[in-house]
Formats: sequence, C-alpha cells, structure tokens
Amino acid sequence: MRILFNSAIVAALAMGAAFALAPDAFAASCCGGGSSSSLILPKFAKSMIDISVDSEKYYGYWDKDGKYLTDPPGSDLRQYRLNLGYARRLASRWQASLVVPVVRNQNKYANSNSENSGVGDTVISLWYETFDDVLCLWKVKKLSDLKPAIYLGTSLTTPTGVSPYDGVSSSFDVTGRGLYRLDASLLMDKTIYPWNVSLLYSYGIHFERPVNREYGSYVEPYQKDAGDRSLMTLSGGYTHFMESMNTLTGTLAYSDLKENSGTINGDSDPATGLRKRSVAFTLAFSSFDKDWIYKLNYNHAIQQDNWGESFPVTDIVTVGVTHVFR
Amino acid sequence: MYFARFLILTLALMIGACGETMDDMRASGEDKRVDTNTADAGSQDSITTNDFTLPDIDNSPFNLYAKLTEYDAVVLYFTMWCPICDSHMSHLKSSVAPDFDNALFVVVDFVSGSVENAKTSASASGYRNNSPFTIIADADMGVTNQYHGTMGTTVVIDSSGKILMNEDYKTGNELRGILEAL
Repeated sequence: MRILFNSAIVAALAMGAAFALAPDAFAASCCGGGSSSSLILPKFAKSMIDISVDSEKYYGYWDKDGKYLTDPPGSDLRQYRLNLGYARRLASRWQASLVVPVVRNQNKYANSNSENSGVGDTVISLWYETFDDVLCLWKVKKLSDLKPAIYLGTSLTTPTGVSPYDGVSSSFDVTGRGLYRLDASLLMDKTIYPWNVSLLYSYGIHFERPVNREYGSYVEPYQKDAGDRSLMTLSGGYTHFMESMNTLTGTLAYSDLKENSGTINGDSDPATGLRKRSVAFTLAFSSFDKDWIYKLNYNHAIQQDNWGESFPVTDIVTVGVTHVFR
Repeated sequence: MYFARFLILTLALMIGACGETMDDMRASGEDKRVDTNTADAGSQDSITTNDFTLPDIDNSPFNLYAKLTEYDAVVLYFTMWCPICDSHMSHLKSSVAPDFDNALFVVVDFVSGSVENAKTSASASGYRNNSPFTIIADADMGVTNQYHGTMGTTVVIDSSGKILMNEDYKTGNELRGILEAL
C-alpha cells in the first residue's frame, strides 16, 4: 500500500522547527554558558550529553492564509522523537555539537493506521563564545555587568533521514526533509540571578538539490529548493535556589519561525513557505554542581487564526536529561 | 578527538544502517525513468485508465468514463486535507482551473473514510461551496491504490481514457502544459 500520510510529510518538514522550538531547558543553569534554545556547553565544561524525548500531537493546521483548520474527522496524528545530543569543547571559546533524532510516526485516519520509525535529519553545530569569563552575576554594580553572553554559531542540517525523494514507496518511512540547510545563529544570554533572559536568532539557507524520484517512482529530474528560514526565540526565566543549592528554573519562551517559498526548476513552489509562532514553558531541575539537569518542556501552538501559515498545529511535550562533564 | 570519533562513528552507523540515507546526502539528477507502468491504473503515454465510480460528497455517483464524454480531460488531485494539500488546491483553484473550462477538476479524498467525513473535511477546508472542484470520497482507497496515489498526486486523463500525467503536483506549469495541449 502506498499512502502518503499527512503527518509523515509535515512532521518531517516540521522536525527541524520543532527541535529548534523546544528549548532544552538549560536556561540559568549556566553562568555564562548553556542556552535555553540550543545544545550549548556551559563555560569551562569539557563535554555534555543531552538525551530527550519529544511527544508531538497534531491538532490541525494553518492554511496559507493563516486560517486555523482541523484535521479530517477520525484522525489522530502523533510523532515521537528521541534526540541524542553530544557537545564537546574544542577550545576555550569554541565548541561543537551533534544531535541525532530517532523518529517514530503514529498516524491514524478514519480508514487507515500507520506506524514507522527511523533516523531523522542530523544537525551538526559549531559555536563561538565571544567572552572568556562567566557573565552571570547576582548584583549589577557597574554598567559593564550588564554585558550579555554572546554566542555566534553555525549549524548544518544533513539529510540523514528518509525523505520523499529516497527509494521509499510509502510515506510511512519518511523521517527527514531531504535537503541540506546551513544556519547562522546569534544567541544572547544574560543572567542576573534569579532572573535570566535570552534571545536567539537564526537564519538558514537550504541548498538546491536535484530530484529524480518521488516516493519510489522515478520522475523527470528537476531542481528543488526550499526557501530561506528564520527563527527568533525570546525567553525569560526565574531560578529558585533550594536549601541544598539545587535549582529549579522556570522559563517562558516565545518563538517565531518563518520560511520563504521554495522553487522547483526556478519557479515558485506553491506548496512551500510556512510560519509558526508558539509559546513554551520549561521547568528544569539542576543539581547543585549543575552537572545534571532534568527538564520538562511544553511547547504550545495557538489553535487560532493567524498564529501560523501552511504548517501543522502541534503541541510538544519534551522530557530530557543533560549531563555535563567538567 | 573523542568528538570527532563520535561524529564519524555516528554518521557511519546511520549511513550504514539506512541505505536510503545516501540518496539524499548525494542527490542524483540522473533520469532513471525506464518504464512508468503503474499496473492496473495505466501509465503515462501508454495505457488507458480503468473506469471507476465513487460517490461525491453529495452522495451522487461520480463515474469517470461518463465524465470523460463531457470534458476533454479529467484532472484527479489526491488530498488528505493537510497544509501541503491546501496549498496545492489553492493554487489549482486560483491559477489553473479558471483557464480550462474543458477540463473537470476532481479532488479525491482518500483519508476521511466516508462520504460524511469527506463532506465535513471539505466544509472545514472551505471547499464545500463555490469550489471549482468535484470532491469524491475514496473510502476504501481503491481508486487511490489504482493510481498509486498519495498526497498531492495529480492525474490527468484525456477523453479517450489515456493517462497523460501521474505525478506529484509541483508548480502547476507541467499541468498547464498538458491541458493546453489537449
């Protein structure tokens, strides 16, 4: 049976967005390192392992005009992702990371069900820290104390997942988008205990690729490109210090993801271009030495008009743990 | 060094475990079409389609061959009422259908499972009224399987029953070219 399921393709499309939109709940645990939005090492740490599980449920979609529409009656579309992340310090100001998602799609429609699993698209990142010292502080004594921790990063999304342009005959097996994307990112983070605020901005370009196959059938070759993508995430958090000096941090975040229209053989592809705005709340428990962080994140898309365009409306619950090696 | 090893090992494992991975990582533009035979549905430039009858969302029977006697072509678009389908259908509605009165544009709902659900989906998506499309419900997916249809599959059948196109909807230009040549 060769069926293309809604969630399989849009989930593959959304995957990069979802990961970027799901804060890793590392805010305010860092003292000049770490991030609420990305897999970033704290200052002076040698390496870090981050493992998280996303549970994403679909609640319809926004059409191209931003109107919120429900999914067909009787449908229940879900995606689960196991995200395996590793970050490593390369030099005092340089670090790199790798995130590999393993994706499981569970889609139910009124007349059919499907389940499938596979590796998703892998993200390799390189970050540069513009500072040498810890910039988190308890009290502002001079103007320079307000200087934020600034990170400059670049990420390459590699199409290690299975896309519609692979040899698969069923969308059950689709776990990736099939395109390389290069992002440049700017992250500014400031912690004045117990408060934290951060801003992430990323701009990404896709690389045009040839396509000679769609869902297992060879087609007349053409060139396909997706549009440029931008992501802005603003977050603010509060850290509560327990008597044991363990910390509990709550973070609120707002994200705005936009991708321009792509092309097929240079002509505008009407099925591309998207926008998603969402809010997220993260609760993170950190050990007193900040070597272990346990996190719970809820990313919510507003089920109303004009909060997105041509994109599924989903809620994502993420549970994860991070271990930092000093 | 540990990171580099981890990176190389991970990528090697992924690539090794999933042969399809390389298809995307080293995308090919080589034309490998040999025979587009699509079994019982027929193929481009070669096979005449089989007939079928399905109910539309008003529960009236839609018979392909009967419609082919009324139009120069029937265009089938397979939808699952998703963002991509919506974009395609919107483009089809605004940029293609108005220019071809000699063609009948038919949307095939292959996920709703019943006429009633298909009607609900069409209404929710704004295609119940003032739509250029005839919407039919393929509850058991028989017709979808006949054409190896998926989300976005677009099939053009001329009045002789010949399948002129059976592929994903792209920019609409390829569809326009076929309809203009009728």
